[in-house]
Amino acid sequence: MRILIQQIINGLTTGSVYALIALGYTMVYGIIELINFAHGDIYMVGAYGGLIALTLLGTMSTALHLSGMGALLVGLMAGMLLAAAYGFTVEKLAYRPLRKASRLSLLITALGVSLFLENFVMIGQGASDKTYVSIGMLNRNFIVGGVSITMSQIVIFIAAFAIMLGLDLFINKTMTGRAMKAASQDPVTVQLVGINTDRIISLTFVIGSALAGAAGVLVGFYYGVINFSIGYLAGMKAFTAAVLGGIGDIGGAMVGGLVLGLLESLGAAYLSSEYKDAFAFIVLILLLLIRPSGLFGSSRS
Amino acid sequence: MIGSSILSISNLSLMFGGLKALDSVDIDMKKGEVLCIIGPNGAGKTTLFNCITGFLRPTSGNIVYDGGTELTGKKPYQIAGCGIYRSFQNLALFNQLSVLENMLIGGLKRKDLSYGILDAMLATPTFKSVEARLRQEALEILRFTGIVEKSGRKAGELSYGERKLLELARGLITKPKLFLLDEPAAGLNPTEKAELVTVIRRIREQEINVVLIEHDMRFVSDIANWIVVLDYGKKLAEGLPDDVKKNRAVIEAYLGT
Amino acid sequence: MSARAKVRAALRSYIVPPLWMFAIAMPIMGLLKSMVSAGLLVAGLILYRTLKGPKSIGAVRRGGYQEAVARYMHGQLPGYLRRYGPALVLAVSIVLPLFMNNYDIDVFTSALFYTMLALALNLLVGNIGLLNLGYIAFYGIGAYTYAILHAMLGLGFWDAVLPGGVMAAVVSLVIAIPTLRLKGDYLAIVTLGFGEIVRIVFNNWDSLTNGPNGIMGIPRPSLLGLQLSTGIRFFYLTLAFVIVEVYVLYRIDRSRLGRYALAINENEQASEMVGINTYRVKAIYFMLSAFFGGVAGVLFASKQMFVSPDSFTFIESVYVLAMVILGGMGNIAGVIAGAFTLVVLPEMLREFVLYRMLIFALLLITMMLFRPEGLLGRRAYHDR
Repeated sequence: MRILIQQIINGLTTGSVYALIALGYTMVYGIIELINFAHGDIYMVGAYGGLIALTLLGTMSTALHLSGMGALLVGLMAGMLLAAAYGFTVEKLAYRPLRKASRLSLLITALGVSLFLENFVMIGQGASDKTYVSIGMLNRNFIVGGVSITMSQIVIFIAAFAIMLGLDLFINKTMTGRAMKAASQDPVTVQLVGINTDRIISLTFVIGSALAGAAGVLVGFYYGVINFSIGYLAGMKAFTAAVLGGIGDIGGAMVGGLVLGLLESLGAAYLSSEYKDAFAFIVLILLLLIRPSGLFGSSRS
Repeated sequence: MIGSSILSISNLSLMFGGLKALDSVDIDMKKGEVLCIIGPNGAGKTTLFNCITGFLRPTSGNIVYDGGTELTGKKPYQIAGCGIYRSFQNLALFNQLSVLENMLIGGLKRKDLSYGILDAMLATPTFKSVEARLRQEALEILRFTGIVEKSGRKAGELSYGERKLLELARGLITKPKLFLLDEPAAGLNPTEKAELVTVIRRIREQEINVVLIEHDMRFVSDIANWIVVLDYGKKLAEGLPDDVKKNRAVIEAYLGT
Repeated sequence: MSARAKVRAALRSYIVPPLWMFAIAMPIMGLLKSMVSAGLLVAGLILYRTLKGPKSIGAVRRGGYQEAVARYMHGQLPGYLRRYGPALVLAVSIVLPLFMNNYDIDVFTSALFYTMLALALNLLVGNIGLLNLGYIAFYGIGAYTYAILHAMLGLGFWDAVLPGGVMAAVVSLVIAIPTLRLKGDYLAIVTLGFGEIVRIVFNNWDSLTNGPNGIMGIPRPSLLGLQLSTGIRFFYLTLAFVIVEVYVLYRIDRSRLGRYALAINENEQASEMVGINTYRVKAIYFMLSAFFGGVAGVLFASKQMFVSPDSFTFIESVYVLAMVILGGMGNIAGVIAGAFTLVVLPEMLREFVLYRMLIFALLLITMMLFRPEGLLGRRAYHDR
């Protein structure tokens, strides 16, 4: 029982990270029907962005004294900002010129972008693992009835949910947000109504990338190390989460992420830890075969 | 052998959600007939073709072909394999391929023009002669339909009328017994229409049974010898062209009440 | 255009993008490299504008190039080149290695390996239009089949060639049956997932695959008592395999099966209508493609003399796919050219080891932007 609860907590933690990344996949797919392979690498860039900002801050910390909370926020902001900038640039340079090209060209471009970002970061930051900045506050550990919860897990929960709540409010309460939502449902009509789809698409990439960047920073805090190649697996898993929730469906992506996180941690505990990374792929394949519209989606013919 | 049925459709219905796209349609087509299906837009004509050719699965009813083969439940390629060819309203050509290649692909399933894997691998005399015969036949049919000089062009580069003719030509090389034409005359100018009538007559002469969907009543009376009128998925009337033209219900359906 | 507008336009096209790139590259790359890359960007932009403009040198050149490609596509190459071209290429590949050092022969052999894979993948991506992103798995299955058959039953190379190919084909069929109904991107993702699962299985099924350490001691083949162990002998063996594959693929292309694929790639609905069982043809293509991949895998295992999961990563699949795309999808000559380019070019860039993949990625992206049909374009459809 204790193991079960522990695994559920761990699963929800990774799950909320998957959910954050999955949102970007789902939003982009909803609007231009592209499986943005480079999205995982944007998450990685975000993780580096947070690390770089905090390292910089660390060297100046005598001048600027920040509490644990402040450092956390600075890291998050920096990661989100850098990831958003990269997402924006990638869309503008690589995807926009291909708006009318074949799906195959677009998919291959996305693969190219993914490779590019990985190698770009590898060249700039080195190929070895980087230790993440440790913030004292996050290392606190609570033990409740034999089950341990770290502060970083709590922070991930809260941050992920705050961000998702913010996104939800943005999409449903602001004009731009509603335009985004409309564009993802019917890009052609939206253009007729006089909304600039290019700007909406840009915005979608910026927001999706910022969310992925936040996920990157949170994961950096959680695991303590990052690497230029973390984007691939995380991206694939987040994509699975997006499909799980019904690709294009924002609420679905959140739930999909949590479900996948739980499946993975429970599977690792009770089935086989060696095949942990294969679970996502197996789930993905089964899902695409049985219910391509996602767990909750209505099956369209 | 006039008298036995080439196609008998009985009690055919198809529901789209709550909408009845086809409502217990009965059609019996005798061998040797040119059957024409007419009706206002949305009457279910193309839907009927889609059911016959397996692109849609009817909710209930039967489609029996050539005296005994049940078509419902079969896949499109299986139905095509039975000797049924259809043209599409919006054309289904291989636009990036040459006209000749479109024809060669049409001839792929001909039993009398086939060879084994080994023949293909070793380019044996059998392979070469079959390929040559196929090519020759393709060119003959193109000549017959009047587009032979375009055989090297990409199908997508042809004019609309030529593409319609190509779709017919590609149908002919499959040697069908039943030829379904979905609005062959739509979008054609009068000269092209006249050409089309000639081609369809010639198709008839080869003992191919023809079903066509059409709007143009004049065109219809030129070639059809039996007419079925559909409206809101139901069979409204059927009969000889002249009788149908005088039918009150048909006039109402077309002009609105 | 007024002077002010001109200045603004220049600012927008030559100053703002490099500044922006500099700003976002800086945190990752540091000051120096970011400045260099921003500078390169300006150079690239100027180059692009001169090449792309209506009166540029490039426009003239490109015209000539496109004309040449068009001629090639219409099969109007000079007769002697068409007839003797393949023989010439073959003669060169037989004679050239005699004058090469071992290292170069090794590079050449590796190019042949990728040629085998790229040609087989081209069968799917180029000919019938199915994107497989986990293709390398079949290569791995072939290689592991030989390794395991040798370790368990002591089978030699020639006994393993067919089983290796068949094993890959059978596995591919298991994948193909449920997935071929999926459309476009989804198929790509499923094959990607499948490729990953295969690698994870290689990595973890210790009792069969010896896990991450791999299987060692795989013998090189011999033929008629001749040990094919030296580099040059193995090169000729590989060349023989490539020749057989090219021949078979060429014949398939020109036979009924090839025409089925052509039709399906072009218009699936129309194919069904003329009586083609599209599902079955796709499955056959899936299996054929996997079979050749498996055979190449057996050859690969015997060249390396050991197999490990590291050789079969996702990036390898991307690499092979890039070869298909670079040369021209569905075009046998193009795919061979693509494979050689992507093996030999990085060798020439050996000093820039660090930047190799970066350049490769850039190549892939620019290719898609400017010439998505590949260097040699699609295969000649006309006049076949």
